[in-house]
Amino acid sequence: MSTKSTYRHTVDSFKNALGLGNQTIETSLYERLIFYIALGLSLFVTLFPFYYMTVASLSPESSLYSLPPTLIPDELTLTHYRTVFGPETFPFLTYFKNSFIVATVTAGASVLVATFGAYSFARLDYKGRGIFSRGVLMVYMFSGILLVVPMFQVIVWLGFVDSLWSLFITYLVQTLPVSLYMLGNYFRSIPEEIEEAAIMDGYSRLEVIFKITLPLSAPAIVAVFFFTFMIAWNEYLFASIFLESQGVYTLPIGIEALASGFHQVWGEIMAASLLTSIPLIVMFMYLEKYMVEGLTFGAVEG
Amino acid sequence: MAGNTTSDVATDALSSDANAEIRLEGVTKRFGELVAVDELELTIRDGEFLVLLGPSGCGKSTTLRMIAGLETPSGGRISIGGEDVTETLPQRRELSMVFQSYALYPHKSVRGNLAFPLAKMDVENVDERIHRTAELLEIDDLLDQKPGQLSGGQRQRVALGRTIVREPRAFLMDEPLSNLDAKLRVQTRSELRRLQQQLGTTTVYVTHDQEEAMSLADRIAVMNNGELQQVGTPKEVYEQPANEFVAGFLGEPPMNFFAPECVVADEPALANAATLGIRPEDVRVAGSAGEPRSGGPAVEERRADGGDPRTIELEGEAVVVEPLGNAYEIEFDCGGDSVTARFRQRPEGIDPGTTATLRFPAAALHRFDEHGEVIDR
Amino acid sequence: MVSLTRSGDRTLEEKEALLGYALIAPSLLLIAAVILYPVLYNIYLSFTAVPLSPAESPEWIGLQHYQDLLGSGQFWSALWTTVVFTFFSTTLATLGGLGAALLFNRKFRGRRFARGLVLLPYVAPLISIAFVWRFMLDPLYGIVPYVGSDVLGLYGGDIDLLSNDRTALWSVIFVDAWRYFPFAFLMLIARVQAIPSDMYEAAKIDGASRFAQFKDITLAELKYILATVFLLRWIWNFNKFADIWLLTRQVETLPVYAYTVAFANYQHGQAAAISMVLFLALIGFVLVYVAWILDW
Repeated sequence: MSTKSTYRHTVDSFKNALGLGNQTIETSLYERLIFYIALGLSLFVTLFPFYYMTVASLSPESSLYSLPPTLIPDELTLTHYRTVFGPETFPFLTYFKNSFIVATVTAGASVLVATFGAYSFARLDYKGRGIFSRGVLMVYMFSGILLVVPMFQVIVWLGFVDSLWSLFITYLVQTLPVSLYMLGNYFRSIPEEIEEAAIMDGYSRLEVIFKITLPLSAPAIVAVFFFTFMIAWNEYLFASIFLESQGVYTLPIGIEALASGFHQVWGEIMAASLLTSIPLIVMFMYLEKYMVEGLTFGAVEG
Repeated sequence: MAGNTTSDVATDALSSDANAEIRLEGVTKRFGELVAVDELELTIRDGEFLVLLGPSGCGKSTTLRMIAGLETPSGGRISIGGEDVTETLPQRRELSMVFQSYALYPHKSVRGNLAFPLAKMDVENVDERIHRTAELLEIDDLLDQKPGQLSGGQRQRVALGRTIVREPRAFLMDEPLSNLDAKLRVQTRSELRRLQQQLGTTTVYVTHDQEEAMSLADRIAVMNNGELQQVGTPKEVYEQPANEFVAGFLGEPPMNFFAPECVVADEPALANAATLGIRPEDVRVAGSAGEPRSGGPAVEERRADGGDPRTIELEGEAVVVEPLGNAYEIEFDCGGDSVTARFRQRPEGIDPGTTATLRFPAAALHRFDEHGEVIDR
Repeated sequence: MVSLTRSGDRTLEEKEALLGYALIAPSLLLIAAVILYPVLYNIYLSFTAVPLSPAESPEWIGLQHYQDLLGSGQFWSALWTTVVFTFFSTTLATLGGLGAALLFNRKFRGRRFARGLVLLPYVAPLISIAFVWRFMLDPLYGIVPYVGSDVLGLYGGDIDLLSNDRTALWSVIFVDAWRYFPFAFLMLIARVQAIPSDMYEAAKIDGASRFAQFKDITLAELKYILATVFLLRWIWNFNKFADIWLLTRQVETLPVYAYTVAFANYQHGQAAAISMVLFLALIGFVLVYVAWILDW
């Protein structure tokens, strides 16, 4: 697949190029000024919504609903956060817990299933391997919207409507292609001789996987875990049709329900939105260097 | 038990006692259309250091991997110590292997690397064995470091240690020195040779470096295009090459080949040869001070054995004169064939463009038929 | 010469192949059951009328749904909206990514950190993004209408940018481009940084202008990766549902249309047919694009 090699190339050259380019282009003050203005504007456009989300979540009602909008709040308050964590208005903690359970279980299962599958694609030789591995990538082109009607029927038939199982199964399979792809690439980057050495040392393939390959693949496994976690954490389409009662709502559905159920609760919504973002942003900041490959694979597209 | 001549306690304990003759019978390996190894017949004697030598792609590594069990032969039989292992899984063959990249486990310390094969064996004195091996290889102060912290030479030693520590039936080595710099390579080479002689463990060693092969091997098996060309001691394959390939592959600079028509005097004895070969060090210039009194020792031996006492002469025009420090190499053009001669001193009066008479004992001449096979004297 | 003394054990290759099948089997079974089967089932459903009660089985009605779609103004309008949305959001995101990649090609203090920040829109949860933009675009208290209308006077009065017929689509396009330009950025910056700097130096010596350098070196070197980024973004944007749905109900693309038909009107057969048309249209586009633009 030539798109695949494009990805590979992109990722590799990305890693190589970072921080290494020592091109010293002499530039005038004027050019530098233009550059920093452009950079500042880009960062402003990119980051302003996050800033605004934070400010709004901490502002009192009076400054939220007044004109002109407050950019630098006079006073900060945690009222909205108290409401969000309090049980009266809406069960944010339940949604958070549901999302966390679904995302963690999905990510764990996806890593487990995909580790074996990816190892099979990367290292073992058998008839049909090429077709299988290309087929898995093609599957990635089937969108959620194409699957949502038949999946609904299947979930009804399985009796999983209004249960987190429905999401778990759906997300697990939707994340398999990206997990297989990322782990497979990583496994291929481990020198085959290391595994052969372990085989010569008396270990079977399965033992080699557990004692050599997996310990060496920790960064990739963490990255894949994060991606599948992120996909499950974000997913709206399937959750919106599989879940019916508040008790099983995940964060996207819950926050949407809050927004459509009440008026003028922007403070609470912003607080909830920020709280929803924090786990992903923290994980991303920690794992950024392992994430590039998954991001360029479009792992977060619905 | 062959080869176990030392009384060193450490090495005694580490050497293996089981017979480990490795026999390959008609072993063939095909990758699709490609025949990587073709009907290979080879016996590696118990305790022997055998080097598989050949250019890249000749099938030597595939052969080693088949002995290791990492590839299964498409045909033929492999046995170790009389036991058929053709289809035995690699982890059950009790062989150990040094890889070109060393293939150390990066997440384990040196100690962990050495302990890894032992964990799979039913041995009690694990720590003792690790220490004995580490002392033998002088890596005992590195035991707690990770491979990433070691130099190339140290990694190479750890890789060796990992093969030795488990006392396998045989060592398999796939170009283990090729990642070392030239100086270290020569040094490690002699240590490796000494170690193998101490342990007396059967060793199969793959390389494309003829110098390495010459200095290490009890016997060399030369391969080309998946076929075994010749097996013999370093001396045998160098002095009595079985065919044009072996003759041309060994020796630096390589053997000169030329058509019999180039020879000045009409020699009926040469008429049935398609190609003639002469090693550069056996060529002399007639009437020059550089002319030695005789050929090399091998030539002397052959003369003494009643070999051909005559002298062969060629006319050649010097093309290139190349001083090498301890020797001179002069390339002559002999009727279209290039003949290189190697002298200890520069022969007088030979400059590019000079025509000279080249001369060598007939006993030093190698004669090949139209298939490139040597014609016995 | 093949050995006849097989011990009954399998050879290495046979064992490896068996292990290979065993390890990939769970993945393949799951994908077959939860993706391939539903896709095929979807094709079947698109030819049936699906009753509300799951106890009854779908009734075969042939091409009825497809005929209905072709005769429906709503369908054609949704298709057109999809194409407009996809084209502009894809183009904007690609151009935005290109611009950011060129900016970040230059070394500056804190580049690594800034690069991480630029990726945030792509990494942050969709639900948070959707709501912060809804708040910012809110007609009463939102900052965008305040700046756009009250301060700059770009448009008059009390238009709700996300609900108004004329502005909703463009608002969604803009937000989508904002969210996804980091993808293009990530794909492009690798290539931008891989362009050898001596190409520019040679061009400078030859007296090429900045613009000529950009056109003849940068764009020429990036041609294929740009085309690839555009294609991938096109595929994903064409199928986008949640991004649009969470921002506004006023923009009806094909995915939104299929969703409402299926889960507001409960016409699952009809919705299946819509998603099939969506899929076929996308495949058609990809094939044409790959053949003509990418010239594979």
